[in-house]
Amino acid sequence: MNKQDLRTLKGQLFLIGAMFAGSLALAAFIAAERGFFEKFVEEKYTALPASLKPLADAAAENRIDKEAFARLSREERLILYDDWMARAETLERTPASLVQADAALYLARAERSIVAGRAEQKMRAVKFLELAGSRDALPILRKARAWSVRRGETNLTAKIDETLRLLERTSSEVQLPSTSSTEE
Amino acid sequence: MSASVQAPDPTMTERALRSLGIRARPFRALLKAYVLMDFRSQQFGRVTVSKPHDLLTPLFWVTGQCLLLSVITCAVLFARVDAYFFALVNLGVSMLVTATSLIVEFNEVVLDAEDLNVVGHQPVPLRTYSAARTTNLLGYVLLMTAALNLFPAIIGMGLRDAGWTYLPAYAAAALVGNLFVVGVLLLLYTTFAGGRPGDAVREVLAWTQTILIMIAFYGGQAVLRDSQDRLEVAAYNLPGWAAYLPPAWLASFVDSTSLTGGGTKWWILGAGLLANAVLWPLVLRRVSVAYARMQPGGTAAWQRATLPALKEPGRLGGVWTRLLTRRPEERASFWLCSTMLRRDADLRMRSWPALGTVLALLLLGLFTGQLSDPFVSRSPTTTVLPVACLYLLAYPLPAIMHNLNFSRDHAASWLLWSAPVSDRVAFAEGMRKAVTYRILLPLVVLMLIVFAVVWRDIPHALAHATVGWLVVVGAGHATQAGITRSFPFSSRVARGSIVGSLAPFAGAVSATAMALAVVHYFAVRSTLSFAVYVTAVVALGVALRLFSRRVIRQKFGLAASYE
Repeated sequence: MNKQDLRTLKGQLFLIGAMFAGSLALAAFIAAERGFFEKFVEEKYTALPASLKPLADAAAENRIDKEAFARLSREERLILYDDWMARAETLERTPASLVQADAALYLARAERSIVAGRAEQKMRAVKFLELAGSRDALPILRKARAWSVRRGETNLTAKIDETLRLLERTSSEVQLPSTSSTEE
Repeated sequence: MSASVQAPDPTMTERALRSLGIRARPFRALLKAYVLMDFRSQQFGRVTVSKPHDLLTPLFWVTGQCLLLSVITCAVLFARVDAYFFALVNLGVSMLVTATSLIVEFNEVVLDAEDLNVVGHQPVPLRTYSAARTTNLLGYVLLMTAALNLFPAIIGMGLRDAGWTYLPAYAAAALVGNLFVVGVLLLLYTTFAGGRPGDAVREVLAWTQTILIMIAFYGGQAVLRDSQDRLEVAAYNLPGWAAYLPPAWLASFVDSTSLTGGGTKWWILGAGLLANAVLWPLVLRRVSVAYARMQPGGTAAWQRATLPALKEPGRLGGVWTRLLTRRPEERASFWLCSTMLRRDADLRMRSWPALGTVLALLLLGLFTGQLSDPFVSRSPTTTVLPVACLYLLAYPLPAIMHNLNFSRDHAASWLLWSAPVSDRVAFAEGMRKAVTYRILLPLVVLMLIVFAVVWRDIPHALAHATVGWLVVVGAGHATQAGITRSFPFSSRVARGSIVGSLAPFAGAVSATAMALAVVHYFAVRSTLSFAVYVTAVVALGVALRLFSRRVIRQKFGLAASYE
């Protein structure tokens, strides 16, 4: 088909048809490559600066200095969460002491990790909520479970189920603390 | 013996048309003519800068724009959000763009009074005419729907929480939604708005797609770099009011067809179909009435717009013009350029895209919470956009001032060349002021208001916007020195002339502005350094003003003009 033919009505319809055909192929390719796109969905964590190390260590032993913590900015507080998430080992007391210090901030941050993190980051965020041992984590986990079921994320759903069972059992046996009234 | 001539048997389509009281031959001829006219549409021709002899027609570019918009939107959302949010955003974009396209191309696809001149004296029954127009309109809506929803319908199948059922469900929802939007618009326009949208509305909406692409492009980049994961969190914590939007109802239907959807909500699709079934007969009746009014003897559907009368000689401009200008030459130039910027649709269409980047960044910053006060916040992610917005104000200046050189009526510029303009420096100054005060000052004021509201600190907003205005003034003088060589509107618009020669100069102005933006970013950290920086910018502006006056005197002075 030469340029003259392309200027006709049929030629123009052919051009638009060709554009649609190319778009169809591209759309099918993108749909089939979800794994490629999911690689970009992950959280990046800030490294712990030396100035915050004493607080992070204190949080790991559940001996957080409330006055020192109160002086931290929101960003600095979140670095303590980032540090816990990025560590290879699991410091079991840190989540509870952080959530006791600023429940709203850390519970919302963990919820964000469940929504926007990689698969391993989601699992670790659920672990954070489990170790936080707060009653306020229950509605967050229930909402996350519904979301996870709809998205067909079976591993995450199983992990949330397990955590929910654990927290609900503990909640009925021992009165779990509600941290919603914690002041910043 | 002579052979009898028999008409060929009518085809099934012809029989169907005849049963509806439509004449097949004029119907086909009209439909073909309308499809041809779709390819030559005028509004989108301006936006896409397509010429009648171009191989790729405006319709091709507009279809391509729709596909581009949807593929960028899908690429940003894919794998980040669930099927419901994915469908909600894409259906919303599809309905919005289809609505704006219909308004922009109203004459071409719905109702054109000039048809009367061409078809009025032909023996074309009203019903046949209406059928051809409506078929063309539905074809146009289908094309837009296909272009805007091909990517979401297919890519949506690849989402974690969707399956193959997503494709037919989404396609049905998109078609129902777009037909409903078009029907409502047609009903409103033919019932209440005198039959058609105003020219200004159409012109502004013609840019909707371009601006949406810019927002999708820049917004997409912001999403990829966003450390706060705002998109994912917004999709997860969708506000309650969103559920009341029509695209949300349709998205709910699409989502319900997935394996984990808990039962398909067929009633939503059924309600949509029923709404269309009720709406479209009403629309067809109203449109047919409008067509009937176009027939000889009927009242014209609308009146042709006429230009307002010019003011009397010697009384150009109002108070605003007199306040801003000093010499009569400056005033005349200011009035001429302001009038042309207001009247000449081609000039506006060539000039406005450059403003889109500034607006897109401002809106993006506003809606993604990245417009922090750079005097207070030290976070680069939230303070880069407010600084970049200011310095991007320098970017449109060369393009707009260069565009002032061109006009379809360039042959009439002999009037300017023969006029007794004794001070051409003042004349050039009037051109600069027309662009900076008429176009860029309102943008700076808009930024001032936005910053003042977001930061809740008027002195900071004022200081920030003042620097923006200094940038505009400085860039204006630099542009004058680099570009102004003749009277405005004295050159013919030719292919490549609009951007070709300007690109290196515009690049240099933008690069200088961006370099200043980096200095500004660091200067706001202390009051002293900011004061020093502002003084330096003022000094630079004064130097550029002196330099531009000297250059204009040499290159566009009285002596040079007789060469």
